[in-house]
Amino acid sequence: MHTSNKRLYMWTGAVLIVLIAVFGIYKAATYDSTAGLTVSAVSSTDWTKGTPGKPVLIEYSDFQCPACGAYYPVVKQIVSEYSGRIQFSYRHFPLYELHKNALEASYAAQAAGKQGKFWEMHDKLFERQKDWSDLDDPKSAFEQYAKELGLNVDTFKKDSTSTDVRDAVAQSRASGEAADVGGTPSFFFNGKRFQNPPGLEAFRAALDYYLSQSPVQTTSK
Amino acid sequence: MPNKKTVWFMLALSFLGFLDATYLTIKHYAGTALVCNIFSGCDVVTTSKYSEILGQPIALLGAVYYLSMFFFLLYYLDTQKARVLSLAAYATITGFIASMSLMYIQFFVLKALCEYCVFSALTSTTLFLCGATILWKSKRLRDD
Repeated sequence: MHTSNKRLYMWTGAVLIVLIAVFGIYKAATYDSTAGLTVSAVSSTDWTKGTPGKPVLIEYSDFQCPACGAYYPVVKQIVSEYSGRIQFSYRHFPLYELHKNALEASYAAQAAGKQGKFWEMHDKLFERQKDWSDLDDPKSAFEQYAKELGLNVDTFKKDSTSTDVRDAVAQSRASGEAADVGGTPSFFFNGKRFQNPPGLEAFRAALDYYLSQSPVQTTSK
Repeated sequence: MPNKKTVWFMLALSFLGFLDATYLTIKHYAGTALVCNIFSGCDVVTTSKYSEILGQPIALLGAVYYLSMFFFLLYYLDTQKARVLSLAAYATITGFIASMSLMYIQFFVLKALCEYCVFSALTSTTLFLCGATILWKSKRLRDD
């Protein structure tokens, strides 16, 4: 073989290998592992906003997760904009493996819900996420929030440790696990998982698309 | 060519480094990174303000570095010009310093690690060690 031929093969081969590798990496990096995942329908034990009977947006979230904190203002805006056209449900998916105060925060929201202020506590927990995330014991911070929300703090404290509050959080996480939720936040529209839209505009676009695709609601009460 | 095995090893390393950095670059542009995952943690590192420089993802710089290193080493294997190899060997110092700075940020500023970034630090450190060996050998040859 001529040396020039050998060189040609070497360089062409190297360029080809690089191109094939980039293509493979691109496929791997953009692979949507969430496609086809489905989740249980909204029930009476779920915390919901928006209009019952409309298509359902479900978020599995963790109050201590920084990514969920970053999505909080986006989701809040979306829910207020689309409140007449969708029903929104928040489900607990505390990643206690990563976040030491996540479970306690879920209990706090759930306990506040017993006094009718789930969403108020939900907002507070996200807005002040940085204040309580690193605390060794976040309970007194949560009690302070309960006080600010005008809750009966004694009842709140008792409810936070009650079995039904703990069971509700555990069931919520279990329903996520059953739907293969591996991280937070995870979003489902009408029971089907969709990839986290990067930002408010993308979230609007995704919802508009799904709403145009599925005018029929699938909520079961 | 006394360094042939080392150069082939470096070629393989720069290819792996390139794959790793390309993956991070594509993830960055795809914008789907924002999530906390049970098994891999939160994307604190790759979504931090330190993940970009002049509006471009640092991962892209890494990909360019590893790809240039790959073709530079290939060019050396092709032409066997000693000057080419010593330039490549000097360039590994840049990669090493960049990786060490990024590891410092992960450990002490963000207090979070990203597995793909750690892998890149490993490849660039090993490249640097190979580069240093080559430079040391060539110096000894000159001195003899």
